[in-house]
Amino acid sequence: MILIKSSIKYFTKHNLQTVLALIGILLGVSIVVAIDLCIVSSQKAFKTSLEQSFGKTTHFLSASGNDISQEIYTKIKKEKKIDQATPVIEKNILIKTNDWVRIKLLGLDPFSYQGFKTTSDKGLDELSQASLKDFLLCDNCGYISSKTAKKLNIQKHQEIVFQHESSYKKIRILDIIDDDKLDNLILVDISTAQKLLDQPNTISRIDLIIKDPNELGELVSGDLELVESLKNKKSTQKMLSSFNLNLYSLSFLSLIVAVFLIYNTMSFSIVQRQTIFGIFRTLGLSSREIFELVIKETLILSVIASVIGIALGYGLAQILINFISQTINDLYFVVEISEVKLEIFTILKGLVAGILSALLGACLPAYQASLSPAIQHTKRSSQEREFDNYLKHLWKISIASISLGFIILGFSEDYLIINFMALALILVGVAILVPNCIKIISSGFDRVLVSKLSPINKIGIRSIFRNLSRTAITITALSMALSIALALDITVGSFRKTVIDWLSATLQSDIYISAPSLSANKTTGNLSEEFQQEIYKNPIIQKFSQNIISYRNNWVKSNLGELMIASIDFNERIEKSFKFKEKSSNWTKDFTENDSIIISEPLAFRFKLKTGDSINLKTRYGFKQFRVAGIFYDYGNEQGIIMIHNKKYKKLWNDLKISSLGIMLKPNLDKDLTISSIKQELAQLNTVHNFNYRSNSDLKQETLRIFDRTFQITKALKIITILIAFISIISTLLAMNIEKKKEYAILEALGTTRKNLAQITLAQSLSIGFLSAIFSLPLGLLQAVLLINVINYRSFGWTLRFHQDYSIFIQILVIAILASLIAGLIPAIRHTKGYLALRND
Amino acid sequence: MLKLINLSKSFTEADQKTFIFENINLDLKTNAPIIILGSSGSGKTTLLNIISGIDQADSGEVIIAGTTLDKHHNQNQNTLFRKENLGFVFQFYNLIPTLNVEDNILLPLELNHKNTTENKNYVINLLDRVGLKHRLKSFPDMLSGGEQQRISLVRALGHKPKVLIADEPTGNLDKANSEKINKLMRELCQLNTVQLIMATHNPDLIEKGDIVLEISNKNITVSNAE
Repeated sequence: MILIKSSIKYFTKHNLQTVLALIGILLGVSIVVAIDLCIVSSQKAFKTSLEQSFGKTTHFLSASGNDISQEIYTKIKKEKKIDQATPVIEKNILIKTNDWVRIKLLGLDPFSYQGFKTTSDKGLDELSQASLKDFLLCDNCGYISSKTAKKLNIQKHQEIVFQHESSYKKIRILDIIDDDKLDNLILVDISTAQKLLDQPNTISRIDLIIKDPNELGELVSGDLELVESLKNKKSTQKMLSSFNLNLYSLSFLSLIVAVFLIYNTMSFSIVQRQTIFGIFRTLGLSSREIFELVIKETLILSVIASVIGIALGYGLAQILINFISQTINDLYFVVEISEVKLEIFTILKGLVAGILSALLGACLPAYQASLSPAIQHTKRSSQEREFDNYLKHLWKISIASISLGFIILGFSEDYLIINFMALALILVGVAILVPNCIKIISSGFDRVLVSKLSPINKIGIRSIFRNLSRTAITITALSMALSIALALDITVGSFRKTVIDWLSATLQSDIYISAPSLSANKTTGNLSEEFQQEIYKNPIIQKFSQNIISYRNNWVKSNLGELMIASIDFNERIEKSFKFKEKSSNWTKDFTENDSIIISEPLAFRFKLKTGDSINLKTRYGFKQFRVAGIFYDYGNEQGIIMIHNKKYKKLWNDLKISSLGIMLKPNLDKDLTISSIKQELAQLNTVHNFNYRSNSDLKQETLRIFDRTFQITKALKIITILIAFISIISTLLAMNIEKKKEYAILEALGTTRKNLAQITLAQSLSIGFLSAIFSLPLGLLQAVLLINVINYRSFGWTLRFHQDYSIFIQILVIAILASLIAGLIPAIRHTKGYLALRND
Repeated sequence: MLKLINLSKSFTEADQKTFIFENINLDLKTNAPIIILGSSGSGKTTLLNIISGIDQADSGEVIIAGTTLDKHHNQNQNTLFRKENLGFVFQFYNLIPTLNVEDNILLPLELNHKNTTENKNYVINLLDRVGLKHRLKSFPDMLSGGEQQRISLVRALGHKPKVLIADEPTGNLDKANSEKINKLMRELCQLNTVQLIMATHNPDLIEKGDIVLEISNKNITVSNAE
C-alpha cells in the first residue's frame, strides 16, 4: 500500500504529465467506444427492422424483390393446407413532416398474423383487443409507435402525406401504440396497404412458419423463390462486415498512437524515479515487485482514463452516429437508428482496449524499471547509452516485423482481419525505424543546419538528438499520427479521383430520370408506364434528344446467391462508357448477341470470377447459364452488379419495368440552355408524377457529395489521432524541462533570460514537428499504397488509381509545424517561473 | 559476523583491468562496530555493496551474519537476504520523496510483511528516540539534512535488521549534525543488538573499540581503534 501511495504522490505531483497521459488513453478509448456504439446500434436497428419484418417467420416466399400475386397466398392456404402463412406488404415510403423522412409502411393481416406474433408483440396485442374493428374498417388508417410519433411530431388522428414511387397519398393515424417494435413504421391492415400503394391484387411476400421447405412443392417456380429468413439476415449482416471492420481498424489506429504516449509517460516517470526504485531495490524489493508496481500504476491510470474515455465515447457516438447511419443508408440498406445505448459489452471493450494499450505501452518501461540497480544512480547519460543499445536491436525487430507483415499479407487474402494485423505489423515495423533514422541523419542535420544557428537554438535542437531515449518516441508517435492522416488523405483522394474519372466515363447521358429512391446509390423504384410514355412523347424532349436509354435494376437468384442485375439499352456511347479490367476480344458481340453478361469488379472479386467463367441466373424459364464477357470497373456498390442487355433481360425475365431513363442530347446543342429547358419540362411533369431528375453534372455533384459524406468520419478519426500525438509532444517537452532543471538553472545563472529558455523549448518542439513531418511522408505513402492496393481491394474489390496530390504533403508539414509550435507553448510558458529558486530535490 | 574469503574486485577502463582489492581474506567474529576507512575512490562503497549483495565480486565469498551470499549473485536470494537482515543509511539520505516520514519509516516493515501494530509502535518509538516524532506527516523536502538522516536511520533499523550498513552517513552534514548522527547510530545499534558496518573517510567518527578496516594497495588491513 505504501508503494502505491508513493506512486500516487508521484503522479499527483506531476499532475500535468499525468493528465496528458490520461487524455491520450481516454481519447483512444473514446474513439473505439464511439465507433463500437455506432456499429452496435446500427446492427441493433437492423435486427429490430428484421424482427419487425419477419418475427417468428422461418421462410418467406417472394419474387426477387418484385411483388407477387395474392392468389399464391390463397393457393398456399387452400391447396397446400399450410396454416402458418401470412401475407405481408412492406414498402419504404417518404412521409412529409417538417422534412421528408423515410419510414416503412407495413401491411399485415391481423388474423393470419396471430401465429407469427412473438411474445414482445405488445402493440399488436393491444391492437387486436381494443381496436381491431377500427384497424380493419377505417379507411386509410394506420398505427404508429409512441417513439416514432414523438420523433416525427405526429398526433393521434392526424392526417399525414406520404410519397411512394411517383405518387402522393394521405394516411390517418388512428392511434399511437407504446411498442418499440413498431418504431419507424406505420402499421396498416393489408387491404389498406394495397389501396394506399395502388397494388390491389399483389403483396410483397408471404411469411411462413414451415419445417420442410418442400411443403410448398411446385409453387416455388418461375419468379417465386423460398428464402430462409435467418439466412437473409446473415447475408445482409455479412455485407456490412467489411465496412465495420474498416471502421474498427481506423479507430484502433488512434489507440496505437496512444500506446506511444503511454510509453513516453511511463518511461519518463521511471527515469524520474530511478533513484526511488534504486532505494526500493536496496531495501529489498525484487525486480519482479518493481515490475508489478509499474504495471499496477499503469492499471490504475488506464482504468481511470478508460472510464472517462467510455463516457466521452458515448457522447462522441451521438455525433458520429449520424455520419455512420447516413453512410449505411447511402451504401447498404435503409436503417433508422433512433438511439445509441451504452451496452455492457461496449463498456468492457472500452476498458479492455484502454487497459491493454496502456499495458502494452508500459511493458518496456516497467521492464526497464525492474532492472534498476540497487542504490546506484542511473544517470541520464547511461539511460541514453542503454537506449543506444536498444536501437541496435530495434533494426532487427523492425525488419522482422515488416517481413512478417508482408509474409502474412501474401498468405491471408481471404481474411481481412489478418490483413489488418499484417498492416499493423508493417506500420509498427516501419515506425520503429524512425529512431534509428533520426540517429543517422543527426550529424548531417547538425552540420548543414544546426551549426549555423544561434547558441540558444543550438541548445534546443541538439537536445533533441542528445535525448533520443525521450524524443525519438515522440517523433515516432507524431510521425505515425501524421502518416495516418497522410495515408487517409491519399487513399480518400485517390478513391475520389478514381470515382470522378469513372463518373465522367460512365455517365454518358445528359439528363437522368429515376424513380424516387430511399437509398442514395440504388434506384430501387419503378417509373410508371404512363409516365414513360409522357417522357417519350414530350415535344421538347423529342426535339433535343438523340437517344433515350432505359435502365432496370433488379435482384435475381443465381448459383452464387441473390445478385443485383442491371439491364441497359446498348449503343456506341454506352459501349464506350465501360472501362474494363479484363474482357473477351469480342465482348460487344457476345454482350448483344450471345448469352453473355458483363460483371462489375467487386462481384468478380467476391466470387473470384474471371472472363470466360459462367454464372447461372434464375430466369422465368428456370436457371440459365451466362458467360462472363468482361469485368468492368464500377464504384457504385461494393456488392457488385451484373450488366445485361435490355433485350435479353426483358425476354428472359419478362420484366418491362424501368428504374431510370437517360436522355442523350443531340450534338452541337447549347447544352446548358437545352438542359435547362428540359428541366423546366420535367418540373411541370413532376407536379403530376413524382420522380427525380438530374443533369449529368448534378448527378456527379450528388455522387461526390455522398462520397464526401461517407468519408466524413475519417476526418474525425484523423483529428483525434493528431490530437493524441499533439499531447505526446507537450508531454515530452514537459518531461525534458523537468529533467533539465539543473541545466536550465546553470544557464539562468550564466545570464540566459527566461525568454531564451522558452526559445529553447520552442526550438525543440519545432524540431520535433519538422522531423516528424519528414518521417511521416514515406510512412504515409507506404500506408496509402497498402490501404489502396491491399486493404481496400481485399475489403471491397475496388481497383483504385493511386493519385498523389502534392498539396497534401504541404498540409502535413504545416499541421506538424503548427501542432508542435502550439504544443511547445505550454512548456515554454512554464519557463517563466525560472529555475534558480528551485530546490534541488 | 563478517567473513571474506579470497575476495577480488576490479574495474575495466579503456581495456585496462584495475584491481580495487585482490584476494582479500577477513574473519571478524566481534560485535563491535566495523569501520571501513579510506579516502575517496579507495573502494569503500564497492566493498559495502559487495558485503550487502548489491554488487558482485569478481571472485571470492562473503559470509555475513551467518549467511553466505550467493556466489552466482542470484538477485532474488540476495535481495531477500537484504530485505530481512540489512538496514541502510546513505550519504544522501535517500528518503523516498513521494512518501511522508511515517510511510518512509514504515516501508521496510511493509516490504517484510511485518507491519503489525507492535512493530509500528517500535518504529514510532525509534522516531521519538531521534527526536522527530512531531515530523511524522512531513515530506522529506521539508526536512533539513540532519533531520533527513535521522529519519533514514529510523527507517534502516525499523524492521530490526541484524546489520546496519552505513555509507558515509555524515558525509553531507555539518560537524554538529555529524556527531549527533554518529552518536545516535551507535546508541541505537547497541540498544537493538545490530552490527554496525560503516564506511567513512572521516577518522573523527572512529571510537575506541571499533574494528577499523583500511583499503590500500589492493589489500585490506584490520586494526582495533584505541
